[in-house]
Amino acid sequence: MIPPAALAIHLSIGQVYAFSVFNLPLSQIIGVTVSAPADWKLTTIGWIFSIAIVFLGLSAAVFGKWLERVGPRKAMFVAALCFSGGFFVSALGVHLHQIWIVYLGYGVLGGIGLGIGYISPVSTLIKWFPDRPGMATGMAIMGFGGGAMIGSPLAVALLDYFSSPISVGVSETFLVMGAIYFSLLMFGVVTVRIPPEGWKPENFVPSSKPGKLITSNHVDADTALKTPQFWLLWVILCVNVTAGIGVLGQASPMIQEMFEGVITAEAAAGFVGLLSLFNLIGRFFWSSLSDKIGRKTVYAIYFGLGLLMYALIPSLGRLDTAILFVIGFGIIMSMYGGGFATIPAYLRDLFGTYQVGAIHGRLLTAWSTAGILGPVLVNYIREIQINAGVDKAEAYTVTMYIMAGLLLIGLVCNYLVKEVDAKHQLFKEKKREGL
Amino acid sequence: MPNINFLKRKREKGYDKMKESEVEKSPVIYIVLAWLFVSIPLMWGIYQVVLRSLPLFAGS
Repeated sequence: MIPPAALAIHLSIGQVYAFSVFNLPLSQIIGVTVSAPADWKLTTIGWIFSIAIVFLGLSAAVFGKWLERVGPRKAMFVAALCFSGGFFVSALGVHLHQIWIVYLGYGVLGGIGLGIGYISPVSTLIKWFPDRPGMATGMAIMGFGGGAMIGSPLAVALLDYFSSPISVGVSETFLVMGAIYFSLLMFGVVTVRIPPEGWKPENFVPSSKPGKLITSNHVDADTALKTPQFWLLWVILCVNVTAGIGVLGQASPMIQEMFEGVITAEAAAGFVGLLSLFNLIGRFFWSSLSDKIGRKTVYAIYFGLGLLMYALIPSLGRLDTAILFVIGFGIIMSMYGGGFATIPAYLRDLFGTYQVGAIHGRLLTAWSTAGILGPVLVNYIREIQINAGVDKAEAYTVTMYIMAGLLLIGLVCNYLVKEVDAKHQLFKEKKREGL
Repeated sequence: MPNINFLKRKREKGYDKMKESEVEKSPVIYIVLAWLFVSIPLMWGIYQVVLRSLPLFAGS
């Protein structure tokens, strides 16, 4: 019952990736069919998503230790209240046409729900599946990738239903989506349980010779911050997400400009959807594979193969057919998702299970940083290239090589990851005393 | 027939913190229903994505 509970949480909060569906209707609340002068600008609306992602990172970092103290059920309940509450408050903001209320609702309140909800089921799953932590966390985090696949068509269907000649129907859509997501989140809340101390699945015998990087001890969240391993993983997550998020945001114009006259806007939208599917599959596939071949090896594949793929993309973009280009990007996106899903198991290997949720929460600040770095890198480098007279189709070449360079940094950091020094570890007896 | 003990324990305070002796498998029907509850919307979402990606291959 625990994996579906975790999946329910992540499927709900993953809706954030589909928020752009609301951009156009939010910019036509007064004009309805076209944007009126008093309507919100797209740049103003864009801040809603950005605020939500910043608060995701901040709340995951701040509330991680609280989550470890109160348990996943209370934390998930708070996440459910915040995330769905964010929709309700935003519905009021749209109704009153006050953007600050929407920022406060979906951005701040929803963002806090996202952060707490994201880390809540992860440490619980690691404790229930000590034999396959990668697969278990991959399954949940896969839901975050799948959330947009549900959120986007659901929002489109509701907007169609509620729109009328006098309203775009955003306010009503927010209310219904808030109620739907609250129900899905509450399913996770009532179903989740944490196992007793030292619980092991039937027939599971821990290896007498665990891998070099797999500890049987524990490191608390504050001490983890003082280790080089934490910061190496921070950089690893940051560069992997920067590279992925940068091209994900530009995927639609990129394929249209590289295959001008071949790929239509409609086909490009299909390409973006397909990348989400690769992202989702990668989260489960790569993290499950990491249980077999080890976390360090799987990250070496992400960075080594990723580097090669980014370097190949400009050549694939010069071919007559887009199929190899799509497959190449699909592999890149699968490893982008895999990087998210494998990191909790990597943390568990290095720091133990004691406060892995809190450590994971603090590591997610790398995501917030990458969320700003990635699009900025891609957009600005492209702009500089075009201003310098480079052809639009060729303008992405330098960007791809820079992304490959970022992955090289990740490869080196991953190589430098060693086991945590014994002086940082809490031994099992002390941990039971509540230290 | 639902497992009464299972339902009773659900109402107990602090249920999410189990004792060693309390760990037992959930009834199969609950597991199936739980998976259906999350996988139906997920499959619907995947179907929508595949449907939207068809023009990409037609264009190629």
